[in-house]
Amino acid sequence: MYAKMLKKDLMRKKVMNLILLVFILLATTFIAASVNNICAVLDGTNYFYEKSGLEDYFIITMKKENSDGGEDEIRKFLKGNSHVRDYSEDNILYSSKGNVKLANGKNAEISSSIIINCYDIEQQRFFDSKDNEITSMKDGTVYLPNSIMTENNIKPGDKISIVTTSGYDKEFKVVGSFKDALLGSTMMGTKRYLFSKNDFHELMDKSGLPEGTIFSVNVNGLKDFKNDYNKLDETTIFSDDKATVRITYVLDMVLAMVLMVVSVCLVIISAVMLKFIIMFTVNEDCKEIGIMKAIGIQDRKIRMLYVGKYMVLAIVGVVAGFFISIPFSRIMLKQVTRTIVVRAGNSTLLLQAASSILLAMIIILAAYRSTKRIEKFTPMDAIRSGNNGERFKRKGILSLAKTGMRPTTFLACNDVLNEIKKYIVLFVTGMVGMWLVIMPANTINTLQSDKISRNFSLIDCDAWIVDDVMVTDCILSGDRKYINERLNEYKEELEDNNIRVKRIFMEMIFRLKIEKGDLSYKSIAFQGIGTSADEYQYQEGTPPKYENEVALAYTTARNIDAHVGDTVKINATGEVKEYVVTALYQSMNNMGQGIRFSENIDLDYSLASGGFGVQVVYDGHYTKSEKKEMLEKMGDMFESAKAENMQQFISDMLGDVAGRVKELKTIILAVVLVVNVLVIVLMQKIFLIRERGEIGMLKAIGFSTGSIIAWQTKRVSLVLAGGMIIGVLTSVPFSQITSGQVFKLMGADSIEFVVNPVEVYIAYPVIVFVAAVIMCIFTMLNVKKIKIQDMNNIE
Amino acid sequence: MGTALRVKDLCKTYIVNKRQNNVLKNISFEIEDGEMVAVMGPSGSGKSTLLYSVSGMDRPTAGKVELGGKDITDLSEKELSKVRLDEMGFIFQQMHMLKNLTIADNIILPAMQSERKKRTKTEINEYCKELMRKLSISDIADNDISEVSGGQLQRACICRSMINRPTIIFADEPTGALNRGTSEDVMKQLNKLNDDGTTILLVTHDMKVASKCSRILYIVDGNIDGELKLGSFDSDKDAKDRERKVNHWLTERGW
Repeated sequence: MYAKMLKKDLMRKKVMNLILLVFILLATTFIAASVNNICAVLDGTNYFYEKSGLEDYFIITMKKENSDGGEDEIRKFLKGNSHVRDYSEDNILYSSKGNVKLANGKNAEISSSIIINCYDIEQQRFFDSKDNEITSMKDGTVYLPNSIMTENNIKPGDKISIVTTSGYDKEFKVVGSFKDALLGSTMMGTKRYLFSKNDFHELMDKSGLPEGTIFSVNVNGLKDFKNDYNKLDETTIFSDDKATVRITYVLDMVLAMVLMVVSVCLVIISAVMLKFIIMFTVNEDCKEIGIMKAIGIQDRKIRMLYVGKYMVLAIVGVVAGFFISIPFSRIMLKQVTRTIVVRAGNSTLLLQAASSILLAMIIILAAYRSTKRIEKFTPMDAIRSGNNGERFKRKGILSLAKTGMRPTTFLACNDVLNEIKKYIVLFVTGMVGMWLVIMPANTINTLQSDKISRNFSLIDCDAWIVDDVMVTDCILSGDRKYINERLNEYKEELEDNNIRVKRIFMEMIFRLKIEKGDLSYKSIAFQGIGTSADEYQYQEGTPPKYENEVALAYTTARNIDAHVGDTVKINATGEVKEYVVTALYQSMNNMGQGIRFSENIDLDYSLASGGFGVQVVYDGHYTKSEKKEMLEKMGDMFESAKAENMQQFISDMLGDVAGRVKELKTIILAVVLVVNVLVIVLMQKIFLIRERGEIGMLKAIGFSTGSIIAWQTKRVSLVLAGGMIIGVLTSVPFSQITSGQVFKLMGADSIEFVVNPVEVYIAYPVIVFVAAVIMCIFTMLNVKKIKIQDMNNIE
Repeated sequence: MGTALRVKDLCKTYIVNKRQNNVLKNISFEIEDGEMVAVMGPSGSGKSTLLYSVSGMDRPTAGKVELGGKDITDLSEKELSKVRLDEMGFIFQQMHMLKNLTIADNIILPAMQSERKKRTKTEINEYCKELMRKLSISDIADNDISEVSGGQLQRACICRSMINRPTIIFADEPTGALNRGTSEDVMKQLNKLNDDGTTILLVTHDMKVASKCSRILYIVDGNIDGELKLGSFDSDKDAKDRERKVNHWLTERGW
């Protein structure tokens, strides 16, 4: 009998049940796929590190003309430190864009520094694109990082040449891309090329490229080791632990995280809708429930009858969603598996199945809780159709007589004000929909705005000339004067080519030890050549001005517990000196690290470990297309360099996260539109059933079908617009809570989101609203089918 | 004096389970302006169907209905809505009103919706007050529909049916859901409206209600079986006589 009743009920409310089913299916697909994706990345980095044999701590050095890059000191330290279990070291070479030529003779487009390595090193294993360990390489071949192959459209089998100033010129056949646990993440600014043993030795002997070493350290007590190591004066290119390297994979998780937020929102909407539908069904069926009670059927059995229906929907939806999530998850994981090796086997499927089962249980539980009202029904309620004659809340908040509104407008407003609870689902859908659409838009606009440079502790400019050869020359020179001269050469060359330059400057990077009391830390440090420290943005304090003043980025400050006004010790001039911290700032450079020196300090440039490109500000105002032409011209002028604007430079630093979020934005907009439409269709169907009598009565007293549609549409529009307005107004805090966390991980504690008013306040709300209203009108055409005689069904 | 309602060869057929059910069979009658006509008949005879068909609430299967000289059978749904809104009033047995509106707002709702008779908000409110005063329900204007008695609610429904000053009012068992005292009260108000010149066509089972009308149509199996002319109801003095007359007439028809 129950099965018969269940079947009848499922068929009776076909559209409503179908929409609920779609919701459950969508929620399952998204949640199962994104949980899998997040776990794959989180577990994936662990697994990847384990499989790659990565140790606990890494130090990368670069030899200079007059120094070994501190390698001897580091070796001595590692041998003598009690926390070091063992360590290994591997030789590397530093190369740049100018050293890599494509088959067509042009320089490869490379926005990162390049480390040349042998595939067979002691400290780490590498994997090809199919996750197989690279155990051998033929001479004359090379493995490249995926990003460089994509950027330059290099296919396996293509050829590249390594060309150096010392006359070395050799062609290599590209085997394919490979996965590198240490330097492979999107955010890592340095990438690695792999060569065979013989080729690597040849490059070491003949290329004349700068040399360096990667130290890989296995430690016993990382914190103590780091404390000891940070006390060492030697400056290196890179030194950090495995946990920090893992954070650099955060951008690879952006896609999964955004989808996770969408999934959670969908689950919330599904649960609220489920409750709404059950409450409606229970109220509508109060007569049947009363009769069942009158003939002695127990509450539990009646509840199970309703729960059974939603159990069927939940199981069907979840099973279908689970199967759809498998290919969906694979597509999502493809992004991640380009850079990491994920665990093979059935564990991912099990994870998807587990999250799907959990979702089904949540839905069934929500259904069971929502049927609690059944216990309150008595047989008398059946006779009274659910009304007990008592009413404690006053109705008629607005007055038609006083407001003078159009009746349809008045009815819409009055309904909403009188029964707010009834419209919460729609309100929440409108609000959450706006959050979901605006959050990625704000993220993209922020990442692509001119202001983003400030969050990287950079000064705005019109063009960047990223020339690793020039930067390497500057590092190797160890002389600030030389860098100034090089900048002047650039300026002259630009002006000779009719590019008027207002100013030209660059950032030099150091890796220095900073101490406060017993605490010490190795941090990235900056000094601008051709800039003044007060041109950068600081969150607290005043810019460093004098020789004994510095500003610290929050991450660096936190590591040594430094605040504005504190004194810290740094060896930046060849001797350890005390500096007063005058300001604190946030930076997305190097996971939030940073020390900024005043331009008035004579730093020891032999300690320099890197530099950003040359920054150019044009003299005069140019249109977008003129600026584009100028960039192209610069690209041709400086063959070994990459000329780009600020957005392109940031995009290179972040690994085009904006591009990835952009792809998602369209998907999310589509999901929001579908969700809005489904919620509206479902709610309108319910309202049509519930208000059949009232609609019949309005027809009887002379309301046309058009007026009734207008009443219903205005009501839906009012609620949806209300939710959307709140959603739009709170979209920035929502962006802070969600995508702000990614920025936070990258070092920007409080990012100021850039909002494009036309897009956020007009375009998206209008698209979503218009689609919803059209769908509402379309659904409401069913009003035509309601007859005046239906008013006898009035509540 | 003109014809308020002219019905000619009216038929209404329902198809139930593929079987044709002819509820109204070639019914023809006329109602003059200012008349108050009751339709009586046994259950299932087609009284309510007739009322709904002639008032434009439902479309007849065949035949013609002229309201104030205008044929309403061929009107579009939109035009019919306008007729219902502006030219007629309808009183339901179940006192249907919108639950989220106060009594006064329910009454003025059709007036605010009407586009033909342009009246200001103040004029509408004043007229509503006047109607409510006439029907002695001024004190419940701001009440919710759940806060008043059935009689008060039915009187409010009468006010609503009158708000657009219709020439004719249709009433489907207007006292059917009321007790005797309240029924008499409601009938008094309907008689008062009729005295003011409003034509009324009502369906009733109640002999007392019918006896207060000027004419009674008796319908059996979808046909008009008889007609009793009582003349206008002037006062309660001859009420008993009229009731006896109606009783006798109905008994003859097997009531």
